Amino acid sequence: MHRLWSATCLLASCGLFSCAATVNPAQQSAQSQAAVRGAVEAGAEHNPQAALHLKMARDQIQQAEQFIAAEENEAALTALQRAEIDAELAVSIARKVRVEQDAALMRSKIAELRTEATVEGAVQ
Amino acid sequence: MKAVSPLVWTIVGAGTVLACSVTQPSAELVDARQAYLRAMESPAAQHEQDELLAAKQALQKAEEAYEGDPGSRSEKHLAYLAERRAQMAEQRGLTTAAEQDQMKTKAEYDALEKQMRKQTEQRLEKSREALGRTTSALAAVQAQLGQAGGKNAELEEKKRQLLAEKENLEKSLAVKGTELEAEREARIKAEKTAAAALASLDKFAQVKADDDETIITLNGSVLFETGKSKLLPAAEERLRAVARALKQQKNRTIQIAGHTDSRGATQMNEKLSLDRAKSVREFLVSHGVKPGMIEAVGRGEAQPVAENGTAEGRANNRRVEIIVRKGT
Repeated sequence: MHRLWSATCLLASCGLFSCAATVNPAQQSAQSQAAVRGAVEAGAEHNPQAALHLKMARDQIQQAEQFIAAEENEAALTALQRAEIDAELAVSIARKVRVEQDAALMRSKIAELRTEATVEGAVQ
Repeated sequence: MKAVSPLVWTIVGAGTVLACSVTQPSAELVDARQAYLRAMESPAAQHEQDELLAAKQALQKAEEAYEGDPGSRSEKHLAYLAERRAQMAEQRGLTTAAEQDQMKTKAEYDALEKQMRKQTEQRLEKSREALGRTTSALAAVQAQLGQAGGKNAELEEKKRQLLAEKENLEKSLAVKGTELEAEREARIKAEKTAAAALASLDKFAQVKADDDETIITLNGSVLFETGKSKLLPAAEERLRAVARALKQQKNRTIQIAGHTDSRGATQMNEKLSLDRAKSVREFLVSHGVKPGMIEAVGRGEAQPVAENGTAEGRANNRRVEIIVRKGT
C-alpha cells in the first residue's frame, strides 16, 4: 500500500510538475509542430478522419500558445503533448487510407480485365 | 507533495458529498479502455504487436494514475495519450493488412494477365491448326484434279472454296498475331496511366476508388469563398490537376456534384451548390475535358457526409464531388 502511494505521488508529480524541468514547452512545441507538418505531408487534410485529428492537433497548439503567454507551462505542455499524438494519429490514418486506395485501384483493374476476358471469350 | 494536497482535499471534499462519483474513471479513461479493446480485436493483434504493447503500457500508466488519484488531470491526460496510442496501433494494423491485401491483389492481377495471354496464344495455335488442315485438304484436291486431268468442275469448285478459306484463315491469323497483342499492350498502358492519374490526385483531394466508379472530393473552402460560386485562385492548381487526370479517362461519364452545409435556406443552398458545380464544370471543360462527358448537378444540403452541428462537420459537408463512372 505504501509503495503504491509513493508511486502515485511520483507519477502525479512527474505528470504534472517535474517533467517541466526536463522538457520545456518550446522543445515540445517544435516537436508537435513537426508532427503536424508530417501529417500534412502524409495527406491528412484529404481524409475526414485524419483531418479531424490534424485539426485537433492544430487547435491544441494554438491553445498551448495562449497558455505559454499566460505562463501556464504545465497546461501548455499537456496541450502540446496531445497535439503531437493527435498529429501522429492523423499520419497513421492518412497512410492507411492511401494503401487502401491503392488496393481498391488494383481490384478495379482486375474487374476490368475480367470483363474483357468474358467479352473476348464470348466472341470466340 | 505540497502541490498535490489541494487536489487531495478536493477529492476528499467531493467524496463526502458524492462518494461514488470519485471512484468513477474519467470519460477519457473509459474511451482509452475501449480504444485498446478495439485495437486488440483489430488486425493490429496479428501485425502490430509492438504498437499494441506500447498502447497497453500507455493504458497501464493511465490506470495507475486513476488508482492513485482518481479524477486527476494526470489521469485524464495519460488516458488521452493512451487512447490515441491504441487508435494508432489499430490504424497501423489496418495499414499492414491493406498492404498484404494489395500484394495479394497484385499477384491475382498478374496471374489473370498471364492467363489471358495464354488464352490468346491458344487461340492463335488453333487458328494455325485450322490453316494446316485447310492447306492439306487443298493439296489433296489438287492431287485429285491432276488425276482427273483438270476437267472435274466439282473439284474445281472445291479448290476455289478451299483457296478462299485458306486466304481468310491466313488473314485472321495475321490480325490475331499482331493486332491483338498490340491492342492488349496499348490497353494495359492506357489503363495504368489513367489509374495513376486518378490516384495521383489524392495529393489535392480525397479520392475514393470503387470497382466501377471513382469519387474525387474537393473541400469547398479551398474552391470558393463563403456564399460565392466564383473559383478562388488557389482552387485552379487543384482543378488543373483534376482536368489532366480526367482527360485521360476514356468511356467514362463524369458528374460534378455540388454540396453545401445546412446553414441558410434550402433553396439558396441548392442554387449555390449547382452554380458551384457549374463553375467547376466550366473550368474543367475550358481545360480540355470533353463537354459531352461531363454534367453538373446541385445537391444542396441534402447529402451531408458529416455532422452539421460542428464547424468541422460543416466544413466537410461543403464540398464538390467529381464522380467518374464507367460507360458512355
